[in-house]
Amino acid sequence: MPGETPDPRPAGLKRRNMETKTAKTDPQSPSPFLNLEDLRPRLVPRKRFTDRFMPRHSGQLLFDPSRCTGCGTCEMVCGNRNVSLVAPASASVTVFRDEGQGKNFALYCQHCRRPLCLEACPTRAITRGEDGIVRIDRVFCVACGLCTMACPEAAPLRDHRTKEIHKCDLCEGDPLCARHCPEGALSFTRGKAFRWIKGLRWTVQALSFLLLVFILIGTFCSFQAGVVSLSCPTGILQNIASTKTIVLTGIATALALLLLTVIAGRLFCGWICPFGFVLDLVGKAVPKKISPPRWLANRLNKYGLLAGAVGGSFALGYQAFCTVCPIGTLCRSYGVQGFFRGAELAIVPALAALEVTERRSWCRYFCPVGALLALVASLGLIKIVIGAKKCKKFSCVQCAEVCPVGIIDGNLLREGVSPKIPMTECISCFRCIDRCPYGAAKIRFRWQKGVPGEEAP
Amino acid sequence: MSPYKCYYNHKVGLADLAEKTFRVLPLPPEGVREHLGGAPLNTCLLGMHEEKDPLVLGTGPLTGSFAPASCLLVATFRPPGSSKPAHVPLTLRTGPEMKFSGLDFLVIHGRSSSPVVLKVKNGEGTFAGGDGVHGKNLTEAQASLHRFGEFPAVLLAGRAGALQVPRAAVQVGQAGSFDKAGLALWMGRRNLEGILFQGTRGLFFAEDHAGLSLELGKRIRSKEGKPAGFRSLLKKTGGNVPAGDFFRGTDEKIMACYHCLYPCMTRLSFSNRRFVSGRDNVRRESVWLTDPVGFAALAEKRPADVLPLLKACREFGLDPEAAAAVLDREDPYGDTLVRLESLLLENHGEEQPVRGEVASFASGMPSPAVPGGGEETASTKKKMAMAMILGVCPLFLFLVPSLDVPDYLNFLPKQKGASAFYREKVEELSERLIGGYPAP
Repeated sequence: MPGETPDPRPAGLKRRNMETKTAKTDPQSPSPFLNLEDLRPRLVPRKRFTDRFMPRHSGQLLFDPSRCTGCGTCEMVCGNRNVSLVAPASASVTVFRDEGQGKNFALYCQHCRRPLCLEACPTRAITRGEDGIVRIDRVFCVACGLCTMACPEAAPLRDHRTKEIHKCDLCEGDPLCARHCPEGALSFTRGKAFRWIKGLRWTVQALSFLLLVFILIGTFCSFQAGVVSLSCPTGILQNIASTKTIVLTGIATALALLLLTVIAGRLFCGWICPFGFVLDLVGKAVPKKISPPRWLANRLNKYGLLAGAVGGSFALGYQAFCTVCPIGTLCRSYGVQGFFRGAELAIVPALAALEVTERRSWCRYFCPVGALLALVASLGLIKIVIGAKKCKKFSCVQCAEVCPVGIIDGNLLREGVSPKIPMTECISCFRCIDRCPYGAAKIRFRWQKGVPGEEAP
Repeated sequence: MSPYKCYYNHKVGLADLAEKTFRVLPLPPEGVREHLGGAPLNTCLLGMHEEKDPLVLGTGPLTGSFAPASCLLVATFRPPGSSKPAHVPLTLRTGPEMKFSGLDFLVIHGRSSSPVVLKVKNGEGTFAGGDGVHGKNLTEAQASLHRFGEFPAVLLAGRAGALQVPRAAVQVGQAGSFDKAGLALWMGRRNLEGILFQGTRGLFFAEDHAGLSLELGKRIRSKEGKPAGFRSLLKKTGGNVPAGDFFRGTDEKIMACYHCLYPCMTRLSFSNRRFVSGRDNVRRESVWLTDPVGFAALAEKRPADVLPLLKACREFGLDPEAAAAVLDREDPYGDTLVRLESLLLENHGEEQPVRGEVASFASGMPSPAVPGGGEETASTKKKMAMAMILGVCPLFLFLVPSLDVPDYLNFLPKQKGASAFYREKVEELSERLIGGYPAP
């Protein structure tokens, strides 16, 4: 353009050109520069496909303050490993001793799922291995100390002597601090060897699936084994609305399920529902890559569908939702009865495909059966409580991650606030209780006050 | 090369309170070879600076090492009116923190014109004004020390020490101490309000010693069982003192000194409801139980209110054993507390003897001092002397009889023929120490 000052730089060095060139670079072509990532030692094997179904537990260092005597053996052995000297000040674990309160607290890296230190590191010296261990690579670390500021636990520590940053690497799977702790206050675990709730739930789910899909025979909304009849409460509601008559046997068994919900929450959804079992299996295999639109991801949708199902049945004179209910179609079209084959077969895979968005999307936003149980669960006797003070806030939030219906607020836990669990949305799968390594998630009666770690003395 | 190259920093700090100067001198290797460390080497340094009447704080070769309970710092000084030097064992983290701060021995002499606090860190000592600590109760003094930064080991002369009360005892944080010889009084007379240690460095000890320590720990647990904290100590030393009576209605928390595999301290939390008037004053208080002799003496005299009285002694900086001697059995609690506070007004002046001839190991550990306690045997005395030489906790050796001298000698340098040399040396130094180590 006339009047514009010409850029003195050669054309190849202009910013725009460089950006264009960078953008167009073929990722497959060998780079003329040394790739720093190639220098990193690959310490752990790649994740296997089977890990989706049977995840390998990354190790965890657990601390029990009630056992800690403050002897500092952990600091001593850790410092010795870091700098080959007995130097507690160079250790990656620090014990804070409150003489007045008589409390000791060990501070060490929690190997966060999403480490803030990793994001803060300007030289990318911090990596999180596939084994879950967050490490500092000495080759790349310039000891700027940004990680010490970013970490909410202040776990990366600066060595006053060498000015280096030290951080726990779990001694590559066999922490010396846990091995040497005389009181067992620090212990290392690779997760529970057998999560009994998990094993029990999967067994019950599989048996329920077999029973409801392959053994029991019935109609749209109820199953029968001999004289025992099991009715879906939503189906019975629609039945009453459509026929304008009340079937007492159906109501009695529907009430049994509602009573179970009052006692134990939406146990049906988490443990018995055959479609829930299918969703759990599909959810394990399908990666979550699509975010659902806001209008669709609304938990009130299911109440609307419930009202629509009952209203529709009343208007149409037949059980409107039962014809497309995934639980019903699963039992009818995939079981021994096999009537309604054809178009109905597509309902289950179509709804199961929603798992690409969020786990149990159908249960969260659409299921009218779940909606009715949710209304009853609001009168329930139990609740699930999570005590932020007892758990390792900031870093763990495993309860929030395993919750299939996404009702545990991990951000609140990070701030040290105990989240309130809405029992209307909770499907009582008890994954949070099973997963919590600190015993911070518990079942309590509705009227009980306080959460673990915050009870009144 | 000295075989102790790895066990010491080979540095002695020399602090002059009058001039507020701090010098670092090399530790002569021949001194280490001749006296090993701890109480004998302290006595040697005391003799070298005899005319200045110093206080010598010293570590042993094993202090801060992988050896179990290697927490000891020995304070050696000459109490007024005593012909022999007294050795006060200081535990918790004092020894390792001083060693990791870069100094093995610290000689303090002179008299400051104003209250002063000595901070030892990064191989050097600095002086700071001690007005915020002077004459304050323990809790207030500790709060005041926070402005100096984080110091894991603190020695305080306390309120009684600052007021030069003969019954004063030095305070190691809130844990009290085994001071029965007037160390707090020595500090108070020289306006030294406190000594703070922070170890930011490290020392090399053979790495295989970590494994050795782990094995010893397992052996101790298999033979001695689970530690019961102060209860186990009372059981062994307390004689007629029924520990269970005092622990009823309290929350116990067992606490340990540096790398102690069989902890003997307990922090008790109790309600003061019975001892205060007015609902607003009711709260839970806590006290550390460390010194069995002091506790036994107080418990024998005032069994009903031993815990709040012990806490009051700590706050005032008084030795519980000496305080118990002047308390009356029948007085109500309020009057007893007033009596305790009135002890702070005692002052015997500069030169008068305050406690007469003190025991060489001026500590709360020898069992004969405990009412109804057992006799102190020669082997017990020898073990204690050995601990004072090597820099490990004498109480630990007293509590864990399955551990003996050879177990500790394994942690010393391993040259050819060293084992026999050290055994003989430790034997010889122990005998000399029990007999009153003559300063050369």
